Amino acid sequence: MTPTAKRDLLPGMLDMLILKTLSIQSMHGYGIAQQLLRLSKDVIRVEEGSLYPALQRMRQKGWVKAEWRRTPNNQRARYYLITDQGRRQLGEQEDGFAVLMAAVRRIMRPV
Amino acid sequence: MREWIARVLDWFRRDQLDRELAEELRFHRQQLERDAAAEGADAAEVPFIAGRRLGNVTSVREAARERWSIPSLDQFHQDVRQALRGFRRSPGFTVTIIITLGLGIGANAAMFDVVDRLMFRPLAYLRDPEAVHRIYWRWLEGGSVITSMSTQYARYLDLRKWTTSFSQLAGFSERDLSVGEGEASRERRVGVVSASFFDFFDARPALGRFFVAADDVTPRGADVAVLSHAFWQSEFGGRDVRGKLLQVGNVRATIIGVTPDGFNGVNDANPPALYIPITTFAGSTGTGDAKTYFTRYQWGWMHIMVRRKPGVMLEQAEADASQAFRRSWEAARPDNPGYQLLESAKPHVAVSSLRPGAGPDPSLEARTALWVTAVAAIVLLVACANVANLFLARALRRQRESAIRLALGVSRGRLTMQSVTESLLLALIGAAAALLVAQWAGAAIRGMLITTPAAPVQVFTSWRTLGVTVGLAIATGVVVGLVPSLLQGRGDLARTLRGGVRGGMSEGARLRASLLVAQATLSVVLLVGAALFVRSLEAVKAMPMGYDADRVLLVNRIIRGTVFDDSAQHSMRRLLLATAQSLPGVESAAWVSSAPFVSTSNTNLFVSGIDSVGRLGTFTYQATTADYFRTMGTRILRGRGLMPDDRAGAPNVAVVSESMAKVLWAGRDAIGQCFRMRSDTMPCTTVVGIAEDMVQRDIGGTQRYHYYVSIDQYTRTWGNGMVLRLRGDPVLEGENVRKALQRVMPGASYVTVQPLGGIVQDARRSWRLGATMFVAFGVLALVVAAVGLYGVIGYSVTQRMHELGVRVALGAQRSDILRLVVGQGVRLTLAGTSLGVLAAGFASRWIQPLLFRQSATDPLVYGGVGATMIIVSLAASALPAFRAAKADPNTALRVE
Repeated sequence: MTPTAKRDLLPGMLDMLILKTLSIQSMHGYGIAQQLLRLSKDVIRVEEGSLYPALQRMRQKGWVKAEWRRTPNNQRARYYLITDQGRRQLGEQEDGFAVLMAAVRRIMRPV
Repeated sequence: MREWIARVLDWFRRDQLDRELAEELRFHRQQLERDAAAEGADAAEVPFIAGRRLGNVTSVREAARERWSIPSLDQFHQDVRQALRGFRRSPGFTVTIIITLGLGIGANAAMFDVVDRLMFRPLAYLRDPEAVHRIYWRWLEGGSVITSMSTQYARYLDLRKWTTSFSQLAGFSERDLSVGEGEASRERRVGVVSASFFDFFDARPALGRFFVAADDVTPRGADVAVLSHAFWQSEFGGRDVRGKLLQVGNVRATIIGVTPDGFNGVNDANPPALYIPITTFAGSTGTGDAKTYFTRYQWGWMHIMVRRKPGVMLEQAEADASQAFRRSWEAARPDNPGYQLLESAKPHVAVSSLRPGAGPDPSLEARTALWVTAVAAIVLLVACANVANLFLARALRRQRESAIRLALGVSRGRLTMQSVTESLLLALIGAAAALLVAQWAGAAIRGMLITTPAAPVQVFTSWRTLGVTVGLAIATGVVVGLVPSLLQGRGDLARTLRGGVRGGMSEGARLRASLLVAQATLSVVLLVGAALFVRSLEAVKAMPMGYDADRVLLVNRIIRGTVFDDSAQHSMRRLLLATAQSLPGVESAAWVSSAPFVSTSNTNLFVSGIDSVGRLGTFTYQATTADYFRTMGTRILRGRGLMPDDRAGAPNVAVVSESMAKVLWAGRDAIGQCFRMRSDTMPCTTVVGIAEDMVQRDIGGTQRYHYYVSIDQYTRTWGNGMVLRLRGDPVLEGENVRKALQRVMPGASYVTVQPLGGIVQDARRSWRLGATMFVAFGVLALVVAAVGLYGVIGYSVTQRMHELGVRVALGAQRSDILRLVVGQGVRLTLAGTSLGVLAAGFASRWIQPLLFRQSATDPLVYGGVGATMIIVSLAASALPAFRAAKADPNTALRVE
């Protein structure tokens, strides 16, 4: 298994990962992608074609807000911030994910 | 839900979002380039590495853009832009349609506003309006049902005592009383209401309190007043007026409260300026009635409103009120010997709308307004037919274009949506024009309908009228837009494409022809109505009134602050009469107890040999002085008029109207006959003269039973005012007369003057309104229909130019071509006219009651309208026909 191989994320999981990332720190799209790559040790490489539509969808759902800010290098970039509603959503998704993972593990346990 | 709101909001700023996304992606790319450079890539390679890592930017954009695009909204937006472009390309077409729809919708919006105010709009603050009603008293008299809202206070008490269906009852009346003192006093509309009146409303006083039961007691209530918000603002500037004294009629009232803003009681057309308790008013009138109004049934002057108990059906409530009315009828008999027996009078009660316009006996104004509404609806139909026709013509012109688009794969639904969007847009612009029309026409119509100074028309702020206007516009737009697409939806595509413009015409032509026939039909109905109403109005004007009102001035004197005994009244009367007669502008003057269309006086009559005079009809009297007949211009047919010598102590005499003489003393000479007034023990009043019939109140009525007695001999009335015949115009001279008379009035008393001509004009207003409206709408419909006919014939001539050319080549003469084309137009019109005549004949039975001595099936009217239609259709098709006659055979043949 090569570390850069494309991994399909389960539906909804990308949202959860983005929310989790934003819950730690507000970030721009590039930052989110880099952060996911770094934390997953190069396993999760989010394509821009999924990232930006996902961000727009979440903005319309009211989970994140977007703001234009200056980066430390004084460049203009669109930062995404998690909203209260987004935090609630993240909590729900995390709970659901834990239940799901436990179930998957039970199935995958060596017999 | 929230997501969709966000999407729609995003849709409106989609361009900005697009730009932001592009910038965001540029930033992302820059970061990737920086990363690549940091990793040590060759400077020339950097953009490519970044580009590879970023992937397909266009597809990112597309995917993100989907989040803020809503396909149906995009399409709609596109349709709107295309429609607007189309409007700019053919401004004539666009303006014609907007004006046609504006007039059609505007007429309807104006009439809705009028009818809504007269009949339906819920009264402000009224709690649970469905359960609140007005009481209408009904009984049989001379074979017809009499409906009256007025009743006696004693009957109000009976209704309260003897019914169980109502949780609330209130008595009310509106009187024009003088309010204020001295020079500052003015006539104001005063609501005279029982304490329970305000409990019908969810209204909290803006200041102080409303009446309580202790304020409203017989024989006389407390001297207190509640001001309306408007009166409080205009007269007291909104200051704290509690405890202030205010002269209201004969009452010196303490102000205890103010109604909230917008409270109009039960009359929002002409709301009272202030309110006093009903028993306060009745107990202070200064006449004998003040002591007996709550025990005897002689003074019918007030209305009753009720609230049904929950769960009580309307029928139950009516039955309950009717049994109370029957008991009350019996109880009233000692006071009213003229009352008929229960079995023949069959008294019963209608518990109906609080607005009299929607009650069992709507006024002629309300009925006429409903008719005019129907007329307005017809105008809208004609306008719709015309606009549909114009759209259709254009759809036919564009048929090839549509066929090409269909062949290219555009769905028919999409084409329909486009055409509906276009017509909807036009209809909505038309609706804006309609509101202007309604604002203007509404004021004009209400000016004709309602004479009292009413609240100004404000269609722009009336949500009900706005809603109806927009609703009508949308319905019109959809209907008009769907018609051409009916045509596009059918037909063989391939044939249309092959045949070019000349192919596939016949079905469109049929549809257009039937629209034309429909227009002609509706126009005929309106024109027949117009002609009937105009002739009816002429009949009203030509009808002898029995007096010549043109130069007559009505003087009303209002006594204030002084209590007159009989002799003071007499000297006051003589003084005013002498003053009036001495004025140079006054030709003659007489003192009167009543005036046409203003007030009537009647009392019981007894004639030997006649069982019950009351059963023959209503006999009204005028107590007056010697110069009355000369002043009013009423002719004495036989015998003599009243003389100055007919004074108290002399034998009682009377002059009777011709009709009255005939009905009471049929076949005998009325002169010298005797009748007794009020009771059969009174002395004889001898008939000394016969006057021509006169119209006292009801122009359309058939009974003209009226008599004249000397005011000095009939002391029950002091008279209320004078009639003066002026040498000049009463409108101009009136003020001088008023000033001169005011100088001799004692104390705070004052006089008001009114030209009788204006009052008579007002009495004819419903006929005038009917005539004006029908003529205006009828001519409008005719013009619209003629333009439609002209358009259709002209269009068909253009289409048939080739065929006509061939005909000429084969030897057809100019006259043949003319006959062919004009014949087509006239045939359509004739078909429409025949249908219209049938429809108008069918509707005649409903319109008959609104007409005055004019048959609704007058053949002259129908014939005239038919002739008009044919002339108009000849004119409308003549122009295209002359063009057709110039058809050139060479052009036609060369095409083949």
